[in-house]
Formats: sequence, structure tokens, C-alpha cells
Amino acid sequence: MSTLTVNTIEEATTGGATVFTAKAFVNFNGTGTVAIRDEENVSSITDVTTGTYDVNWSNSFANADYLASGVTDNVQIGGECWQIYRTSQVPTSSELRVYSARYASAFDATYFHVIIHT
Amino acid sequence: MTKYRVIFDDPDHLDEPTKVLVPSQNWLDMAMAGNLPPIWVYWQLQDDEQKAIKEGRHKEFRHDPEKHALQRTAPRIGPLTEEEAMEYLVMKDLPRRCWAEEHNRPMFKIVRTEQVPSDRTFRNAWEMAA
Repeated sequence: MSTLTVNTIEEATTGGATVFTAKAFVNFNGTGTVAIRDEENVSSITDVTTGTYDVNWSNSFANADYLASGVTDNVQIGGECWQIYRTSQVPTSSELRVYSARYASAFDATYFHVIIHT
Repeated sequence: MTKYRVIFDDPDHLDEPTKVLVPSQNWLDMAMAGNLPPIWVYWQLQDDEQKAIKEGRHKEFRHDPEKHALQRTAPRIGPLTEEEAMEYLVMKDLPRRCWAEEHNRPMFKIVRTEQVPSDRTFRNAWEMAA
């Protein structure tokens, strides 16, 4: 494997915008035997309790101010929403807690998808 | 796919259900290929951040660039077996109080995947067996 190390990638057009690449992502099963389906820069996830998971980054970020976004798939029922804990658990540069709820109750989504930009 | 999971209780929150750590296969492959830095590189970063949290300056906290870069630049520790990689992962991703402090019972166990229930109906009542 070869590694390309650069500070900034920009579009080739004049005045092109800086290209921001995702710094990490993870896609995992939230039901049955919890397992990571695919990831980048994730060393593990922790099944904390129903609908609640911690994502542990392989390499820590420079700080805890990264942007996390995500979505859940639920093949059985709809109506779920996805949110990130930012209250009771302090996010750190090495770990993020994610939580899924359906009608305000924690639930295990079939698939979780989390993506990080900085 | 890895055959291991880590089940653990947080000594500071023993009323919470037992947690299950699921390793990344990509990360384990990296560990077994010998591409990890020494564990102290991560501990150093965790210590600095925890200190900032305790001192109430986490919002302004940024890692020291030199310490942060060691994740990529520190000499690699060489190939690990899958079992050694799991032990490394415990020391990296579990709260340190789970494994570094003495308790009146083990706070974590490395188990086979099939030992973790797949039925999550009573997930909030899971407890680590003695």
C-alpha cells in the first residue's frame, strides 16, 4: 500500500473549493450479534445498552470538535430518528457515543452508519 | 471475522448493564501486520485530554501536535497474534479503571463471539457471569 501525504486537495477549476474528505466512518449491525460491517479509522465499537454504542477511533483526532453525522436503517419498521449523545457523555478525540431512538425510546436499529468530518 | 469480543463492566457505573466491545477486523489485521504504535502513544493522548476535562478546559483543548503525530510516526511495535492484539485493544479502548485498578472481581473478560447472546430482548439486563 502506498500513502499520499498532502495538506490540501482543491478542485482543478479556478477558485476551486477545497475538498474535504471523511476522516472516519463505520457501518455496523445494531441487532442480533452486533458486528462491524465496514469502517475506516475505527478500532472498535462498544455495545453499551439498547440503542447506545460507543465508537472508538483507531487514531485520535486533534480535538473533540469533529462533525459527526449518521443515519440508521431499520428493515422492520420505520419512524426512527438518529441522534448523537452530546449531553451525559462528553465526546472525546478518541471516542464518540451514538444513540438511536424511535418515538423517544431507545431502540436497536438494524444498521448504524456514522461518518466524521473535521 | 474475529472470533473474540470483550465484555466489561465500568467500576464507576456498576448499575449499568454489561458492555460488549466489538473489535474491527481491519484494525486487528493492522495489529497482526505490525502496524501499531506503542500503547503509551494513545495513553499519553488520553491522559492529556482527561486532564483538560477535569480542569474544565475541554472545549478549548487541542492535542499537542508532536504527541498527536506519534500515532503515525512512532516506531511500530511489530506483528501481534490475534490474542495479543485483543489485549492491546483492551488497554486502548476500555476505560483504564476497568483493567488497571484492582477490584473484588474481574471487570472484563475476553470471550468468544458465540458466548455473547444474540437475542437482545433483555439487553438492558445483561450482567457478566461470575
